[in-house]
Amino acid sequence: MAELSRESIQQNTSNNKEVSLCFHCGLSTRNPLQFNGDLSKSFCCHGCLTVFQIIEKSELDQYYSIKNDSDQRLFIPTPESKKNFHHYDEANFQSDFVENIDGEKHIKLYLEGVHCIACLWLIEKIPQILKGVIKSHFDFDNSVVTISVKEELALGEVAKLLDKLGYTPHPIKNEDEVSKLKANEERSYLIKLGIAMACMGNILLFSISIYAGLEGSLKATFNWLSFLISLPVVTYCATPFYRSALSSLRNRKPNMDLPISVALIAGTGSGLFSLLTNIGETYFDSLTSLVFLLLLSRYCLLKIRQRGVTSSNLEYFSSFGDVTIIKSLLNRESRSVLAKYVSVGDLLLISEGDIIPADGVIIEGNAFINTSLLTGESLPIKYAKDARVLSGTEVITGEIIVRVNSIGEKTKLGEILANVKKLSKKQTPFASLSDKVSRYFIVLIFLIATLTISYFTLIGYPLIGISRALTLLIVTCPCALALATPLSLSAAIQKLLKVGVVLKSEEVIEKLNKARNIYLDKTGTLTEGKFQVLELGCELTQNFKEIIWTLEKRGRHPIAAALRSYIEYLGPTSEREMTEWLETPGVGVTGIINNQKYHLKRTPAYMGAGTSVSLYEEEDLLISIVLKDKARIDSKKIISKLKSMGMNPFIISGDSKKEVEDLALEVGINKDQAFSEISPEGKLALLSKDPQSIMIGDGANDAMALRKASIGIAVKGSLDISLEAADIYFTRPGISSLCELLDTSVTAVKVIKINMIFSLLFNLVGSVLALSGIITPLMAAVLMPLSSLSVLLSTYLFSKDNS
Amino acid sequence: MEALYILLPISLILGATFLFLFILSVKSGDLDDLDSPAKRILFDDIKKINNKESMHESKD
Amino acid sequence: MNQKTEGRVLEEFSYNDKIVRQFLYATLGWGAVALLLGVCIAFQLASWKFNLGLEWVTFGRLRPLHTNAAIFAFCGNAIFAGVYYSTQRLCKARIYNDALSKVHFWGWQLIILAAAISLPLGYSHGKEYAELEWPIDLAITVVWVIFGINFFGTLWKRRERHIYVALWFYIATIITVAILHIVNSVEIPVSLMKSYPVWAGAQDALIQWWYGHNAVAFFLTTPFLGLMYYFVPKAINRPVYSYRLSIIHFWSLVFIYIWAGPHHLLYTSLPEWAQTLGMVFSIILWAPSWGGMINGLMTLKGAWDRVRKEPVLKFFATSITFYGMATFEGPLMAIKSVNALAHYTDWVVGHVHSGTIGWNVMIISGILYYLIPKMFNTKLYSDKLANFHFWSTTVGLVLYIFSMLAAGITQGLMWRAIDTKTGQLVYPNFVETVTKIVPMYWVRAFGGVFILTGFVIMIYNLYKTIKLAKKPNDGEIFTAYALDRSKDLSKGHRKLEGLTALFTVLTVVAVLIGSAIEIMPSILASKWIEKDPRVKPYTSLEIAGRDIYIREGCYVCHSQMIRTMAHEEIRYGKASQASEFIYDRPFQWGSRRIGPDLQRIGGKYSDLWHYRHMYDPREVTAGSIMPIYPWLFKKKTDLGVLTKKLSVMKALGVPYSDEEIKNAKADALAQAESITKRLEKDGVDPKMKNKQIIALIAYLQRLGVDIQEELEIEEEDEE
Repeated sequence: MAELSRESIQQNTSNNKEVSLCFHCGLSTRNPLQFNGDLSKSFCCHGCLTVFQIIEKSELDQYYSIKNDSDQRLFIPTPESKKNFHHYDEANFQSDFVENIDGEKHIKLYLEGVHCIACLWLIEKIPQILKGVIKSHFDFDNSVVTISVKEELALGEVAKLLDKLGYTPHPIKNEDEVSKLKANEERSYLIKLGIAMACMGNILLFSISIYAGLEGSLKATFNWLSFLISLPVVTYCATPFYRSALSSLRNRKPNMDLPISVALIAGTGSGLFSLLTNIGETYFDSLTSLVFLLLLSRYCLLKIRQRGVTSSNLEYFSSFGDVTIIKSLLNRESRSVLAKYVSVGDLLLISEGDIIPADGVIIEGNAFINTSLLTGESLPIKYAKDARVLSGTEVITGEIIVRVNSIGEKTKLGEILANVKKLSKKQTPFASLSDKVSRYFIVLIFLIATLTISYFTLIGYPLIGISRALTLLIVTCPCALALATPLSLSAAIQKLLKVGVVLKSEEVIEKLNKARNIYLDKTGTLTEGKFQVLELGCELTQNFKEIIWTLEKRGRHPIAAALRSYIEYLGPTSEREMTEWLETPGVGVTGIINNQKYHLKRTPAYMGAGTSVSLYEEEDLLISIVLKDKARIDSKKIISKLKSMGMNPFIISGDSKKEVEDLALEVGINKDQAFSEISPEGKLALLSKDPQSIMIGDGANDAMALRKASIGIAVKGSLDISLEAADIYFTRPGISSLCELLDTSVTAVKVIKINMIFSLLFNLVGSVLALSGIITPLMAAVLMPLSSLSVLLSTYLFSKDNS
Repeated sequence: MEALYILLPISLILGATFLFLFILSVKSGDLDDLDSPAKRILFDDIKKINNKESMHESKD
Repeated sequence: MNQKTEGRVLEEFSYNDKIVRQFLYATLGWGAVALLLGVCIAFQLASWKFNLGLEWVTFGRLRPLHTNAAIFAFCGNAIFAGVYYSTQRLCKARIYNDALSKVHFWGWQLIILAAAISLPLGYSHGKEYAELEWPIDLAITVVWVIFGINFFGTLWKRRERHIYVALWFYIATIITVAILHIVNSVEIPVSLMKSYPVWAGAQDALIQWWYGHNAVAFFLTTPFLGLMYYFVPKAINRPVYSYRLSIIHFWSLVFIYIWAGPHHLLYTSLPEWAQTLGMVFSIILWAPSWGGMINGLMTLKGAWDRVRKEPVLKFFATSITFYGMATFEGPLMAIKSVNALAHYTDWVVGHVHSGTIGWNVMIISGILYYLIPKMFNTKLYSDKLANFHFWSTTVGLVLYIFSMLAAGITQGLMWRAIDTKTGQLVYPNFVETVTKIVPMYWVRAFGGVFILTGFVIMIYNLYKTIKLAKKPNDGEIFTAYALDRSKDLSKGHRKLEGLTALFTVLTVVAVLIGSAIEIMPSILASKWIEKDPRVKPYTSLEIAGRDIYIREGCYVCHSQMIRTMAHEEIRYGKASQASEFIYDRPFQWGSRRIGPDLQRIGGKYSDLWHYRHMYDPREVTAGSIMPIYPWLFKKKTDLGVLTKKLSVMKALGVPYSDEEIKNAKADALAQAESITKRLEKDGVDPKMKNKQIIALIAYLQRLGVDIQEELEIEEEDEE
């Protein structure tokens, strides 16, 4: 459901017609549409009207009572959509996305735009709307619907209905390995967590009785029971720690899980030892609570990271939709198929607004194509017959038929993707702060342990030495240290998710803290990425508007499209009747309106970059309008903020020098930090010189740079491959969330450092107590949760203070 | 406190039973999606429309 | 009638609402009875005359009837009604078996009837909230198992894959209450309506209060939390605040909840560590309880204007708040230092009723006001009356809680007041503390009247609602798709294996409990119990006197446990030792001191004093609120059954010699004669020797005597 910005709607209400509320989505609208004369119900647009008609027909008007009850008013009207989903019924689509179990077709669809329980209710009522649909079960959490349909009903129909209701569907691979694995992994984690909690609870109760002075035969029974109950925790539940400790040992980079595993094994061993010989103490309650607390923090991190962009939900954001293929130039019979299934030699009919999915050559028609996604230039270029087109470019106006001559890997886009994949393999694994600290920590602890054992064997009490060393290992096990990093990182990820910033992995936050220079791509990142009318000097009167509107109504030049969208933006304008109309490509448009001759000509741009258009009545100039790829409103503010935070921003773009310098001036970046007309390879070279850098871009030409930079950020609307290459993805247009991202990463690292100090403090106290032998299991039991609690509290306090 | 020799096994077995049920419920996917069940109990059941044309009659 | 599509079957089913309505009517009926009993016994405490001097209505016998009626009859029927209604909706399936449901309903009402008859007649087991004799216990187990089968069968037949959290609460209730009931009702029958528990003394106390607290937990809390998680979202038509929190709250509650209990025995002769464990555990319990409260209240967030207007939501909001208050007050009172003041006082009664009336009565009223209009698809007869019921219950409850709080703290402080100069008790005479709080009993009684009137008005209101409504349409047919078992079968019979696994676990549990109970007596009789040579078993007459003590429910007002505190040792004598109670079957430590502690009463007063005191307590202690027991002077002691009683006791490990058992009757008669001869000079007719008063006096004079005797002998050896 495309989000029409609310300001534009509000502007309509400025003129005097009384306002009425759209019955479906509650938006206030000036000129409501009526549903066959029933004045009580008014709608803001056709989209809402069609949804209402569907609901009305299948007697589901309870939808509105639920919607008002849950009073989640979201003023997003349902957009009018004409897409037909025939490609859902293609053979190869069915093989990939549809699962038939004894005569029933099951398909999983990710739905955009579901926002309240009324939507959930409506989606699950689809069987009542469309005959042949057996069951539709909606999972609100990751907004995926599983629909099972009878054999004879075409899936395209279901997709069309969903789209009409305002929930645009995206097919998800059915039960592909990734999502099944993910579900199983999460379940096994949950089971481990449950077992750890149950055992920890009961052992705590046993140990409380012992701490409260239980003696005699029952004490032995309680101790043995605690040992037996702690076995499943230390063996089954702790396997994630052992596995990661072993793998870290294998590549000789010990990480945080090594001391934990050692503590667990040592603790259980010494516990069993003291049970058999009743020398020393048992620490089963501390061990099990350690395992439980760590599993809990890892599980929370897993759940939060899941909400970020993962490989399985990557294709939701993909831009390649469906494509129509025609049999031949003569027989225009067409079938639509998913972009993935286009093969060499196919004739693709590409109309306005579609993205060309493969390289090929135009065999009929001409169009203006915006290649900013591929090369970065913002000015749309005219492509005529026999011109070569590349995949990833977008047709702005006009319609062409392209014969495909290379797809997938062999396209230019494919090459870039291959390089990106090659680059990512060579990435050096990032050693996070906590891994570094833990390395010194382990060495130190082992050193002290061996020292104590040798000291005590020297003075003749080897047993005491061993038991003290073991207690040291248990007490100083880095529970707080291990909790410190994941907790602050998950808090940061959580905060960023709210601001619309999606992270692929949490190490990025620490890397962000080190980077100083930021390389920004121009088109699509700093600028809107599409051709727009710049603010014009004098006021555009109502009749100028109407003249331009009438002239450009059927114009197919991108400038015409830009003018039309600008005028629509200002409000509904009525069309004048026009007698003659002539469009001379490359020059302008002339037309006679109530016997006055007007022409709209392209005039050389006098004010910096971009092109300008002037309206002449006969010969005298009425008004001239400058059009260019405007900078986003907040770019200037953000750049100044970046500078104040000590970062130095650069612009690197494939666009012309004039455009880049003009933007640099406007946005406040000095000229020598603005590089223009740089090829994708150029960008890669520039980035590889500076390892601690951030790259923000959207186009295919930035993909390799995004991968090379220490942190790559893909902006909303970027191509799949830049999504694939980047580490962070902005779901909000432009770079508005960049400052939040940098702020959060600064606080997160600060919080990690504070937590580290806290945990090292606790470990110091613990080790002193352990070495002097005055530690009792009760102290350890108190120390352990206390340290984790303090870390939790400090994370909560510090990461909140500056939000 | 010899009664504990009765209370202890019973309480542990009870705890173990519920742990077992917990594992069973996680395995059968009860805890995968924790948002829609809370909402789904609010929807009324689908009544069977006996005399009028059956609800599955396609209406568009 | 099922539309067969290849893979999945579209099934048609209808709900069994008849059984729900039956349970609802039973709830209304027994609710009124339970509250009426409550008001009666409240007035009986305010003034003894309300006991009417009749054997069957004295406080000692009516109080157990009130507790059993309120918990098992009123709340029991309400749970069944709520569970039957919500389980069918949550599982989108009819209840497993209609016949079983009927058996369950009529069986439960018969059990209540049996209790209503047996308790006033004095057939009591002597253990709080488990007073019913062994035949009724068996019946309860059978009916509960039928309920379990019916419930799990519906779960197995369900057409909605996800098991909603309310169903999990019901599962926990069924399984745990079954185990609690079985373990606490293990008793060896002596006759049709008399039995002795397997455990004795401190062990019996621990198991009783392990059952006692968990009965409150798994009978008055978890099922109602389940009902809350279903009915509150349904009434307000919004999803529960955080479903994730309810899942966490349930599973954390259930894994370790079963350990609670010892906080009823703080400062008693339970070992120190067990008391600390009880205290710490009760404080931990505060977290899951408040998890439930927060989840419930926050579901109502954002709809407070509706809560102000609609009575159903008003009841729900207040009941959840009272649940929060009661579960906060509980852990507070479980702290040892607070418990030292609170234990045995009326503050405990205030806490109990803020939970039972505040949480249970109110949530049940809310459910009734929601369910009955919905089932007869009509509107409630009058919202004004419902609001009146709400306010009368709230005012009544506030009166109740604060009067008991004031009474409890006054009692606690007066008992422990020691004059620092003389080192003596400021209020040595116990009756002073009683007369001081009698006005509070009047306030509480009137509070009770408010609550009862409110309840009766609800009955009238609902009666009119039903009267005016047209017949409920039971036959309404719904459709839903059967759970696609295919997916499960393909995944290795998970569902099938799931259920069979559950039954295997349950059978293992049953077998284990059974075997544990067999070996239990042998453990008890063995050497492990630290025996004290001075403590000897009761004589046959004392056993008869003890059974009269249990029959009259003396433990309801008198405790037999002197706590390890200075002021109690000054007032009552040496603190009780665990070894003194090893032959007490069932233990009679009691939980309230409306009257003084009787553990060291033996020898403190003369036989004549007891003789005249039982006839009319005010004759010997002015201002006493104890009822009169004239029938003890008319009815004969049943000496014939004593041999059977002693042989059962011997089987349970009490060291009676064979000839003691053989001539139990003769010994009893001899002891009775010696007591009556001593009383003759004070004008007591010798014919009284076979009257029950003599047996009672024999028992009272034996209490706490064993330990004192030894003291003198020890001194002799030293000389």
